[in-house]
Amino acid sequence: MSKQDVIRYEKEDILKRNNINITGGGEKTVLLAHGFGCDQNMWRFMLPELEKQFTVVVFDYVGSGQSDLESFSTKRYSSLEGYAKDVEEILVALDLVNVSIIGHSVSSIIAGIASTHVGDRISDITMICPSPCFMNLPPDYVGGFERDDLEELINLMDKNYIGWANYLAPLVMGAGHSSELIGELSGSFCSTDPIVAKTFAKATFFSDYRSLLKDIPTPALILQSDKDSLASPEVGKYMAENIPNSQFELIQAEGHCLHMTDPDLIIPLLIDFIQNKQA
Amino acid sequence: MTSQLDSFLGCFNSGHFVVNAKREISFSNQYMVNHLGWSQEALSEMSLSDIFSRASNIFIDSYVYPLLINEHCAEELQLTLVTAKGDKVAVVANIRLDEHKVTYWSLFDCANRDKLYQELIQAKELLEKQGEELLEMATVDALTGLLNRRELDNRVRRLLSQAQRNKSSVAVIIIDIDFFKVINDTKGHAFGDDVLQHLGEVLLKRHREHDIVARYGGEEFVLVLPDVNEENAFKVAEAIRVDIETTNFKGIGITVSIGVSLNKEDNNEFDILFKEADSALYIAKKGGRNKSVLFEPSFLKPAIK
Repeated sequence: MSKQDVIRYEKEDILKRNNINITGGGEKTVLLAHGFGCDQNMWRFMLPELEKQFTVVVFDYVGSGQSDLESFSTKRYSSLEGYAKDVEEILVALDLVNVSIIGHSVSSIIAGIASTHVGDRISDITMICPSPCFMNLPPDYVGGFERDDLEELINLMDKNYIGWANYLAPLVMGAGHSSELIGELSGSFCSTDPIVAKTFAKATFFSDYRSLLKDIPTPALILQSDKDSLASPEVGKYMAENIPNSQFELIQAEGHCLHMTDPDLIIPLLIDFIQNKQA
Repeated sequence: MTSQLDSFLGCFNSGHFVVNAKREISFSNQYMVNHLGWSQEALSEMSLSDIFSRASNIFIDSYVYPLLINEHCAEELQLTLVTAKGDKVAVVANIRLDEHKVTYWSLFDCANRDKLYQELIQAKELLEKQGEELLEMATVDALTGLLNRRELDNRVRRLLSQAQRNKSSVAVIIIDIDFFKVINDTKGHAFGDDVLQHLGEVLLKRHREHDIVARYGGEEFVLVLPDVNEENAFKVAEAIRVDIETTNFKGIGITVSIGVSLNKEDNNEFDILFKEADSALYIAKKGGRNKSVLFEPSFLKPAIK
């Protein structure tokens, strides 16, 4: 894939647009990219450990969390390339180099896309519960879901519209807040505009990025959950087989959000990977 | 006591079950057994993901659990159960998570609510579609598919205030078809429309992501280019002029005259820029047409005096 020009935005504009928060310290920078359905607050269980060693950059994709909703465009964000542009524009606007990206779920693929455009800025990618394609595409690929399942998901999101809209609390949260504060801000978590959420869901679940994997130029660490209804261990192995420079770790845990449920299991692995950068 | 509690729980006309940290179903009441068609023993061997549809599992894993971890409870979530026979049942769930990662689920059937929501979704989709159509009608020129004058106005104003903040340049280019009235009179209005569409296509072909292309009215088109210097703006104008001139359109030669103006630090008003480009266009017409002319302050001087 060819190197692509990235529009250079003013740093201030991007900081605001993507609600970027920078904490920790140190020469090495890690960028944490949240997955579908939530925002940067997903990372709060991992932040304390990471901040001890790295400069930590967290952000919300346009449309998620406390990002600038005005910047949302259905056209741009109806494919993962649009979300990758967010990542690319952040790296360029903040002039970040030698960055380790930690992506949850779909953000693993988004980081992969970004690495084909601005690979010279990214040192490595840690992928938490990734899948390059959620659909079953017989005869060779089992992503776990039929098209009908995914249509039902979109429908289910619609039917939980009221629930989703209720979480649209316009609260500003920075990283590095205490848990009491989190309690007070209860309700802002996973706040997502329903239209935006649906666009993100479609971009995530109806896409097929299997052919991207071979083009990912950076080392990749794949952390897959042993029991994850979204991405099976087989999907993780498929990723590892297809990303040239990759390492696969199966984590004995349940669910799709290892960074929230089992931070203690994955933090040592990813810190070791980032510091040694060996896949 | 336990057995009395069990029988009480069995009497509730709603589903209640408990899921342990490993996501296994460690307790379920009689309602769940009746509803799902699995035996109590079978259920105790199953995991949470076994009783919900795949779509619900995505929802549970990417939304419900993160929510529970953060807030310890989740309310009024619509999900889909799958029975032993494979039938789907719409339910509303309230869920609580305790400190041992155990979750407590209460489910209610919601077939009627589901139907209502389905109808609401359909009504909403219809409204959205109609809204889009109306928006298109309000912003797009029906003949050429370019933006109309009103939308041009809106977007250019936004672009110019942005340019003023960033101190970046913006070029306004007016393109006018030469002798369009003659074409219309001799070849007919339908042919004239084809010519307008043709010019629209040529402009669309040249336009970059952030450029604005509009039909201003009649045979007049406007192109607005952000982040461009005088030299390049003029090059774009010339490229369009040459493109039109060298294309044989249905047996006749068409030419355009073009006026170009760029914003300055003290001049970021669209009205003024438009007037300037229009005066350059006037010079191009006066100079024999089929020309691009860059605005010079002298063009406006007689008018000011």
